[in-house]
Amino acid sequence: MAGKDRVDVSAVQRELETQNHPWEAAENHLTRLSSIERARRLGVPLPDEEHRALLEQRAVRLRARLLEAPAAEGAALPAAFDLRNVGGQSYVSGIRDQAQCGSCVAFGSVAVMEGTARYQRRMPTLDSDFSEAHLFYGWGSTVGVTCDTGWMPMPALTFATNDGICFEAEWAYTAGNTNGGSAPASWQQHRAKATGAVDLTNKVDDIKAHLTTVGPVTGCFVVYTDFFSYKSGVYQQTTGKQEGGHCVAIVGYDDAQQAWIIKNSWGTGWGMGGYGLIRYGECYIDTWANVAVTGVNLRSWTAAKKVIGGYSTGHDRNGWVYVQDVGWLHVGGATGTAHVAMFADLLTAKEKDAYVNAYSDDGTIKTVYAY
Amino acid sequence: MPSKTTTKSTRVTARSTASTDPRPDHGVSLAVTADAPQPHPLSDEELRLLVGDATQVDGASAAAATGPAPTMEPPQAATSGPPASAGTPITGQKVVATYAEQTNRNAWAYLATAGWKKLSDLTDTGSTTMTLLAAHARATGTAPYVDENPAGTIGTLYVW
Repeated sequence: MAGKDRVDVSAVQRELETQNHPWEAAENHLTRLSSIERARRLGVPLPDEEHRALLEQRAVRLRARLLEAPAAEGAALPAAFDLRNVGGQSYVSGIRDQAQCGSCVAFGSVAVMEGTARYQRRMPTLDSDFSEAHLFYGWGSTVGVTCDTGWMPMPALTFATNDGICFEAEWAYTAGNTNGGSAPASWQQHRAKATGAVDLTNKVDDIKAHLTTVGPVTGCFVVYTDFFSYKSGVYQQTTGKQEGGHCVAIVGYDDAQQAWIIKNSWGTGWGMGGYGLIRYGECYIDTWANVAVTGVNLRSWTAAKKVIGGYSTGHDRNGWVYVQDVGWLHVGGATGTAHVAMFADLLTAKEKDAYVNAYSDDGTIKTVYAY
Repeated sequence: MPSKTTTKSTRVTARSTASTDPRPDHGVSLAVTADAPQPHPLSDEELRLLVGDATQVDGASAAAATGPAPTMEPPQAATSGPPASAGTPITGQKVVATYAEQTNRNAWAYLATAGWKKLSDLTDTGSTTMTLLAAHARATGTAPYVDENPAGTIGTLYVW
C-alpha cells in the first residue's frame, strides 16, 4: 500500500550525506505508509509542553555528562553489553510486529518480561512467549487504553506485576484484537507475573547495570519521520517532522558507539532484522520512561523435559532439580513425604534418562509425571 | 552396616561429626585413621551453619523458605564459577558406598578419597533427600559437588 505522504527516503539519505552518514536509511514496508498509518505504528502519548521542557532539560544534562569522563560508579560496568550475545547465548525473544495498532507499549513491556524471564534463569531456550494481547486488550482496556490512545510502560508493567499475563498460546495478538481473543477462564494456571516494576528513567548507569544483571528495560522516545527509514548505524534525529511517541525494549548498549541497542516491534523488515542502535540521549530514549521488572515468576508445565541435575541441603524440604530448558526448580510438597516422593520420582527419571512433565508455580514444582 | 565393600585402602581425612549415632564400620571394609577428631563443643559459627539462617515457617509453604537455593550451573553450560560455598568444597570424588541404619537421620556416603562423610542431619527431609542424591550419584557413577561444613557433615550436594 502506498501512502500519499509516504516517507521521502531519498530526502533522508541526502540529509544524512550532508552529515557524513551517521546512519543508513532505506525503503521498507513502513516508509510506504501514509502518516496516519505510521502514527498507528507508535503508541506513546506525546508529553505536554511542561513535561517536554523537563525532558529536554534532562536530555541536555545527560548529553553534557556523557561528554565528560566516565563516572566512578559506572566504572565497573562493561563498555558494551548485548543480551542477544551473552557468552554466545541470546536471551532476547523473537522480533514481533504490532501492525496497525498503537500497542508498542505492550510489546516493549512484554519484551522486558520475556527477556528477564530468560536472563534471570540464564535459560535462553525458556518457553517465554507471553501475551501482548492480554496486557493491552485485556488489562489496558480496563483503564481505557485502545489502539488510538496508546499507553505508558509503568502502568502496563504494574498490571504485569499485580495481575500477570497469560501466554501467547492462550491469547494470540492481532492488531485491534480482530481475532476476538480473550484470556481463557483458566489463564491463571499458565501465566507470567513480574515480581516488581522499577523506574530507571534518566539513570543511565542504572539502566546499564539492570541490563547486565537482570534483563531488558523499556525505552520511550519521540519519533521523527526519518526514523521509519532507519536501516543501520547509530540513529540520531536528522530530518522530518515529529510523528508521535514510541516504546521499545532496550536490550544492550555500546559505549564506543555511544548507543543503546533497541528491539523494535515493527517486524524484521525494519532496521537490522528488527533491531537498531539509537544514540544516548537521543529523542528522550533514556530520560522519558525507562521501566524494568525485577524478575518474572511463571506458572507452567515443563512439557516433556529431561532432569539434568539435583541439589539438596540439610534444610527441610529443600530438594531442587535442574530441568532441561527451564533451569532450577524447587521441589514442593505440602508435607515432607510428598516432597521426598516427588524428589525421588525426579531423580529416578534422571537416572533412567526419562522424561518428566512438571507443573511449577513460581519456581516450585507442585505436580510431576515421570515417564 | 554397609553391605558394599571395597578393596581400596583409603585414608579417611574427614572430621567426624558431633553425633553419637552409629557410624559406618570402617574396620570391616574401609580403612580409617585412628586420630579422627572426637566430638567437641560446637562454636557459634558451626551452630549457625548447622541450624542455618532461615527462619522456620509453619505449614505447607515452609518448604520454599527454609533452605538456600542452588546457584551452580550445569557443567556443560556453566558460564560462571563454582557455587557460593559455606564450607569446604569437595569435587571430583565419586560416591563409592553409602551407609544408613535405624537411628534417625544417620545416613553416610563414602567419597572416593575423602572417605566416610555423614550427610546433614538438620532435618528429616534434608537427610532423606541428600540420601537419595548420594544414592543417585552412586548408581550413576557421578562425582557430586559436595560442600562440607565445619562440623564435618555434608551440608550441600549437587549431582549432575
